[in-house]
Amino acid sequence: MTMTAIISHLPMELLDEIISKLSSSSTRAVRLTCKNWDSLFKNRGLMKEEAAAKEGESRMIVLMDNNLCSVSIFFNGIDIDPSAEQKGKLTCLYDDSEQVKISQVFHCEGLLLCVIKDDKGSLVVWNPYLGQTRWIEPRYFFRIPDRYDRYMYALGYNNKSRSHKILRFIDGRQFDCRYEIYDFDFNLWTTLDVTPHWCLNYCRGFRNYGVTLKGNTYWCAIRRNSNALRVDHIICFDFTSERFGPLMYLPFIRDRCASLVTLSCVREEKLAVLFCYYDTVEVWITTKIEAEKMSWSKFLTVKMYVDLLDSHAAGSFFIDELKKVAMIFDRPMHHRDTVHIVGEAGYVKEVDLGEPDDKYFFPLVCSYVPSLVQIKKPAGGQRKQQSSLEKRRCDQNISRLIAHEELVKER
Amino acid sequence: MSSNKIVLTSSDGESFEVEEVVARKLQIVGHMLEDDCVINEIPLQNVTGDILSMVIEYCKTHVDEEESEEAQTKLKTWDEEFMKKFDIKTLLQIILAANYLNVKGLLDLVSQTIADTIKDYTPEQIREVFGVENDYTEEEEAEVRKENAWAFDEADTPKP
Repeated sequence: MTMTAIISHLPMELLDEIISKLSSSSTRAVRLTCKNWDSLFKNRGLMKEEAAAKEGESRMIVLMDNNLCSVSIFFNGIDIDPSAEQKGKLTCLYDDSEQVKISQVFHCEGLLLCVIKDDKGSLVVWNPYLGQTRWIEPRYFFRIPDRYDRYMYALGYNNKSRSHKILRFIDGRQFDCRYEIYDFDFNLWTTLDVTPHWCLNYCRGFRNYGVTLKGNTYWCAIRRNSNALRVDHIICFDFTSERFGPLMYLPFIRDRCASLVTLSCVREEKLAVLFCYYDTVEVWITTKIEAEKMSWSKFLTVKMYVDLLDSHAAGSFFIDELKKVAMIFDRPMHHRDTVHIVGEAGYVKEVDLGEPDDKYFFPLVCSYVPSLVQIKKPAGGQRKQQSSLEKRRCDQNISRLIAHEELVKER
Repeated sequence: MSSNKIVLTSSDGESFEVEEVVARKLQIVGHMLEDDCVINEIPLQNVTGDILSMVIEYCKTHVDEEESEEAQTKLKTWDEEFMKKFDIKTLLQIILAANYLNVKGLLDLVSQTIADTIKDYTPEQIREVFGVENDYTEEEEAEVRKENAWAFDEADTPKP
């Protein structure tokens, strides 16, 4: 028997055994070997490597310097100095593609929606675990060069059909808001009829990131036409009905004069709110989430001066519920990216993430959890035609947007 | 512990005399011994002498697996050194033998080693070693390449 003959008879279960032990960074060659290997790879279970975190390790994905990094933070209690390790950096392997720059990122159950810094406002949805991507082009994109991107995004899914959707919109106090939704199944953008009684883009220069939990996206919000400067509400976009829910009051923020309120989620089960007021940081997590009501319990309070809002850092944070800590991403006065590890006993530990290359780009952490969710391809590669009404609405939106930007430029 | 000796014979007629406890690490042998306890010579049709000798070397080392952390670390180091001796083709023969002889620990060890080895291979190299035909059309291949265009590059050194 020749060698080749022996090997080509490698039983399926052995091949499966080998493939299941491959790390997700080596998916490419394996998937390209042949169709059989590709399907074995896609259908393997969650890998051991991914499941077994080291002692005290918290894994997360962080947007730093316009690129995504896989980062582990090691925290083993107050007596040992915590440390951070950058495990990997997003690299484009496609033959002729350049390294992309990413301006925003959103997480939804193992999928990352990345907003590319190009002149089309391209979007990429990526499952890092499966090594799968899908590129999506918006119908229109308009930005004054070197200005901050106005668009806000959310990635979620229909809870009945499980099909993914992207919400894309422009929002602001003196702005005529426009919302549109992209359907993965039909490869189609549709304008949404929305008259907002809320405002999500309430503070200049601060990007209010939404957080997706169980397919729906939540944002901190203020009531439109109110003079409130303080954020004291939360609002949910339901991707099944494609509607926003009511503004829900965050009772614990009342009269606290919070300077910064941001959201995160705890694994994929709970929402967390962080807010700073004077010299105090508090984190609350949900005990119950219903369509029109939420219950909260206090997770921790700590006395610390972090002027997260002044530093223009997004104030994103990661919760480790077991260790009872919040990890807050910041760039303090010394201009190095820093994680404050805040515990319930009131302690604060700092981990240095190094000096950023781009001083205007602030780190953003995603509570990423690996998943085997496939990114659907549009059925038959055919694009459903948009109606003539939809086309008119879209054209109208573009011209209104251009007019608005011209106005801003003149000012 | 029994000092009973068993003779294992490979497909190419090579014989190995081993202690029964070592032979029992090969579950295929273990089952035979349970069925009929008077056997002392066992022919193993699907494995050649050179491969069988390596399997036996593994089983001898792992014969009494102690729980202590120190012993475990020592075994792990031995495993790593042991695996370094083989090229990919030998590893594939060992995994086949470990599967046939039913040696769970060795199966895990070799499949991990193979996975670590092929992770830096090109698709062409994998196809050659595993004797797999490329059944993608050009378009399909381009599609998979594009879909799989992003990855976390682990080679980067961590920031200070």
